Amino acid sequence: MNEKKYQQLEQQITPKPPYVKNCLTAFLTGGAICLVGQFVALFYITFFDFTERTASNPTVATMIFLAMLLTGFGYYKKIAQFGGAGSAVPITGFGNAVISSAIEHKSEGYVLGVGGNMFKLAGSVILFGVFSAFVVALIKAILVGLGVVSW
Amino acid sequence: MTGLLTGCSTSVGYKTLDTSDTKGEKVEALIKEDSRIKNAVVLIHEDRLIAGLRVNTFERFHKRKIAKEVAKELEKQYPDLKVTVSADSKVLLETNKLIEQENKKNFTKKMKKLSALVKEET
Repeated sequence: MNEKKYQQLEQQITPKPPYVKNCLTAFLTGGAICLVGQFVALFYITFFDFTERTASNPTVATMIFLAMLLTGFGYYKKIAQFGGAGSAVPITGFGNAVISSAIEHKSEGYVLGVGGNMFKLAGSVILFGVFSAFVVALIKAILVGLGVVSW
Repeated sequence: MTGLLTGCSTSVGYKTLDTSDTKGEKVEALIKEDSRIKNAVVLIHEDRLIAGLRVNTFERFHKRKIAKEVAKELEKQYPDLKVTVSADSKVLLETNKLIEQENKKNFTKKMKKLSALVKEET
């Protein structure tokens, strides 16, 4: 059996992933997480001195905290199994990535294990998040400098 | 908790309170003229004017621009007032609360705080 034949066989046998169903569950899960986030934001707007604009920071922090708790107690993986990308794309996926790798490498010690591996995946999220924010801000700064748009 | 649940669906319509009773109706008429705005709460006290707007759902993309336009118009008509206009639901919520409390003593203090809050960036 040569390589080509094997690939053909493999493609025949591999079950087709249910794309439509996956999209639907991801949509529902992501939507549910965002709904919770909206309530958290509303909570901060109603009971604290936050406006719609400024409430986003504490909301993000709260959502990450909740996701971290859920990860620690083992519930987030159940959500992720159902929702797939719907649970990974919102900010809660970031909290999950941090804590799950921290738990995974706990046996290697606190410094080289937890500390060194905690941001294995989340580190690249932070890096490219900061970098893309820098690029976008640079573009906007140039546009403002040219007088095309205003802040 | 009830505030949390009804926070989005409160339809206050148009509400205006002018403690000096001179400009209130005119301001309300001016805001009503704008078809993009569906709810508005206006409070005028001493030399301050605060207007909290709620725009139609799909106008939300331009809500800051709408608020800016209304503010500009109001500033032009009443140059002696310190005008704060915002389409942020916090302003609508708090201004509505102020009007319902009817405690005129802390109006100035609370209005100053709200104006400062609107200017906050992060």
